[in-house]
Amino acid sequence: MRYSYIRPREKTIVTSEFKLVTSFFSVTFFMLFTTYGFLLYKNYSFIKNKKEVVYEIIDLNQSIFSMRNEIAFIENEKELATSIFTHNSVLKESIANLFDLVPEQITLSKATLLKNGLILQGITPNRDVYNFMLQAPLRSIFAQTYSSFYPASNGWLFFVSKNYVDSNETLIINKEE
Amino acid sequence: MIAKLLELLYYKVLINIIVSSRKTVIYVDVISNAKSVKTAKKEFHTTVLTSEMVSFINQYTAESPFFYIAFLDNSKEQGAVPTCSRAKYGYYGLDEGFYESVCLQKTWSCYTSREDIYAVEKAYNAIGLDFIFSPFIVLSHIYKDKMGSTLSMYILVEENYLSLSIYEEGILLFAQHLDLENSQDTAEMVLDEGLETQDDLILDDSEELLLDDDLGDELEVLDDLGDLEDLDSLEDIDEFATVDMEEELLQEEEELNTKDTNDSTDNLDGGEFNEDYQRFGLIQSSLKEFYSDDRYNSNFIEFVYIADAIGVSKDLKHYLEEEMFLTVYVRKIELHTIVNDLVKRELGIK
Amino acid sequence: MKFKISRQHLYLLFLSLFFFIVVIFFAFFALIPEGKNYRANKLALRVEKIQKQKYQNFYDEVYKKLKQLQSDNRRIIVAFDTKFSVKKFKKNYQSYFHTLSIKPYKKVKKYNDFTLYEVNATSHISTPKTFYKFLDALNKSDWIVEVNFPIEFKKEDEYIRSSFTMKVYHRKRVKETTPLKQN
Repeated sequence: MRYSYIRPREKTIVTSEFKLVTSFFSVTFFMLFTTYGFLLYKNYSFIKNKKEVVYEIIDLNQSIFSMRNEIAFIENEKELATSIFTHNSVLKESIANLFDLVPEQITLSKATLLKNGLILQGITPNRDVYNFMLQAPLRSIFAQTYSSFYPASNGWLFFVSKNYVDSNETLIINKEE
Repeated sequence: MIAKLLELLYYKVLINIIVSSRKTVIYVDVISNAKSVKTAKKEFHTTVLTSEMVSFINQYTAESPFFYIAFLDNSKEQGAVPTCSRAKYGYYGLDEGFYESVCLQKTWSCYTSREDIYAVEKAYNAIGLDFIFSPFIVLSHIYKDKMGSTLSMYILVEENYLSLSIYEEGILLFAQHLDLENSQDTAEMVLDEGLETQDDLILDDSEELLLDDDLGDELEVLDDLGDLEDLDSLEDIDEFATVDMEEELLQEEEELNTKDTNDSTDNLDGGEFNEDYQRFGLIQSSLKEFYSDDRYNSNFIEFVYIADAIGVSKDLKHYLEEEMFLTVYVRKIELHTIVNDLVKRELGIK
Repeated sequence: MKFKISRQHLYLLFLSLFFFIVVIFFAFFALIPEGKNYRANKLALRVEKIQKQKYQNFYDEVYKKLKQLQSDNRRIIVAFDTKFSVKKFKKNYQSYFHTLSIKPYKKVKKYNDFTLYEVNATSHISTPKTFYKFLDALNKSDWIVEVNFPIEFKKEDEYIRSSFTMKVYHRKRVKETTPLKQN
């Protein structure tokens, strides 16, 4: 100090009232800002999560779509397989029925199964047996039947029987009731 | 930047308290941007800090946190010595550990009793003090324009104290703080001594009085002078060997401005007369001490400059001029303003 | 009564007022809108989650169904995948015939999503009964085979020469791995 014996006291604008006001408001501001910050963060996380959930839904959707395709495919396969198996079984039955159909007296030399018909070649003792035992049932099964005969050396007849079903149908030989 | 903002927003409140023998005067100066916005002054008829004073001060200190309270040291145990070195205090008869001091111009220091400072601070604890000034500093501030010149004596006259200092070419030679109340006896003693030791220029009491009146008239006439011609005639008068030109002009101006009030003070009442005489006595003895003491290089003093804080009568001037053949100039000062200036200087307010 | 307020207190009052206004503004223009956002977003998320749960449930159902189908029809699925091998066929079914010869197959055509191989087979059997057994066994083979017309039986010495065509169905699969279970 240039002139005085004593030094002046510290002067500050920060009085106890000032401190009170500032501390009160700083607490208030702190609380407000933390709340605001919390809300911002929460909003951000909500939006982010929502996006994720949306993506998940899309994923699920896609998966469901592909699974359904797969299911359809498998069902398709199953259907096809089943039809094939049925076809094979029917075929077996048809063949079995066919051979059952042929009486003892008649001997087949060749049987050709076609999609729309059946061709039988064989030998029969006589016409009557053929007509009665073979031709009759064949006629009931097939739409068109043609028979032709050739005499054999031992007095029997060679026959060729051509039988056709309707154009729309396929060959199925059912057991006679 | 913050400082500038604070400067703009807040006032500075400068308060100074000056305690005299019977009263306390508090002066308040409210400053904004180095300009005085408001001033107030109140007198309290007590020498201690009262609740009334406290509330008066608080009225102003509540305005701003930047308030500074200054106090003029009114203790008895104080003075000034022409050294700044505490080690040399012993040479001047002072117990160094006892005093608090302030060094000025690297050449002299004023001192005061540490105990007194504590006592004052404690007494004013309710409001607190920021500055305590020595009256010698106040004196050096008043007459800073004059102290650089020839050997002269400077006296600050307060109600119950005389702060006396002798300067030559800007250097303090001798200083003494004189107490009016407790040195009535010494004043009379000194007067007697004066009669014995001084040379034939000093006359006895009765003759002194007569001479006083004549001289008083002459001086009055002289004081009224305003032209250069008259000043020349002043030089011719052999009774006054040397004259301070500037001070004469200053004195004349003052006289002209306060002519009416001066006339009233011409009427002497017993108390004042007595006091002024006491003062004279004290000055005389102090001067004697200065001349006689070997520690001080003592040439004869020609000029005395008085800083009048209370309003002394013309008698003191007369006494000094008559008895001691000194050229006396009295400047009336407003102590509060000076102390306020000091505070401003301390704070760096232009 | 004259009410005078000191400068300092006035400043403090203004400061408080200013802060208070800031608080109000902040509350109204920042906090409350954000709070509204918060509620809205929370609700939206919840809604979305519920939606997702629906999908999840549906997914679980479909997945269950798929797995069921896959396990039920494993043989068929595998059979469709297996590439036809003459060697293997012969090895498996030689037992049913006296002789069996199979012409190398050729890829014929596409049948929807499947590729078809036609195989000609000629064999000698003693009785048609074995043929029936063969047909039965064929349904349980490593491949999906359809016996098709024309089928010919011709008596040759003691044996019946039978010739038939087989259609082997092979899956034309775009390799698509079954998705892993999601939760």
